[in-house]
Amino acid sequence: MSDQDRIASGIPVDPHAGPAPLVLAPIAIATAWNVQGDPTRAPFSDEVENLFGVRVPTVANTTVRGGTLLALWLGPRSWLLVHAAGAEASSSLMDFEAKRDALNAHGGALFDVSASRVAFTIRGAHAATVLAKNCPLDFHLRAFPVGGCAQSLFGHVNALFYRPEASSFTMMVARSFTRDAWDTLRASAAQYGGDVAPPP
Amino acid sequence: MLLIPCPWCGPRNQIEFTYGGDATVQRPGNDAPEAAWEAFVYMRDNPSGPHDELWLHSAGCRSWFKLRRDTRTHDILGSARMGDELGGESP
Repeated sequence: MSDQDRIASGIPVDPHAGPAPLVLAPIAIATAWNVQGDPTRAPFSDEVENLFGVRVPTVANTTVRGGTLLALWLGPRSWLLVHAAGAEASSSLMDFEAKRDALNAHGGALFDVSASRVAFTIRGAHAATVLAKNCPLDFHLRAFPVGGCAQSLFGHVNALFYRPEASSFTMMVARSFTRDAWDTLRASAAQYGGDVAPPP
Repeated sequence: MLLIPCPWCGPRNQIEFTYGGDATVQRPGNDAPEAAWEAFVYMRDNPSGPHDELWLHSAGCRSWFKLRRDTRTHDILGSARMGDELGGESP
């Protein structure tokens, strides 16, 4: 929910309060593809750029954005390409089988993992504090800059974090852990009040 | 609690990692005698001091790497990617 939406829905927004204290909400992931390969081999990285219009990031825990497509670094040979639901259809994440075959021919691999994860947005002045209660990552901007991503644990659930803005995080967890992660998130956030969406 | 320097992700909390044993053990050849295989599978030193170990960043980048840790003090003396050598003198 944007600040405009909050105003429209009658939730009071203090213009001097900076970002809203806290907003928790599930986000839909339309498409998520896992790319694997050796980025030091030019045929592979060139083919990825050719197919998806982005070069996968080679610096650990960073992301590259191309239009509505986001490439997240998962490991030295693994990336997640995500395309948020609601955004305009991106031709780069269509035709899965043709792209998989093209990547296979260049020493890479492609997996459709669209259904594997659920995503939550944690937004507001307390976002980093709420996550830090159950995650050992350092969420200070020095250690986790805007546009960065990192995998770690949230409670005892493996989670992938992405920081689109200084006071906004996207957390992705395996679908079967949805309720676990959501309950942990809500419990961590309870002391700050704020705007919590109904459970997914 | 250890702060373990993953050679890819930087310093991370110990709970993200899985211990993988002695990094100095060499796999014998396929035609090696049974005793060599028994030593490879079962026999390990138990050093008091610096120890080269394998660790897996299981909740992070899912990479195996080498770590030199002092078994007396838990001091971390260095880490390296799998193809690379741990810096400094070997224990």
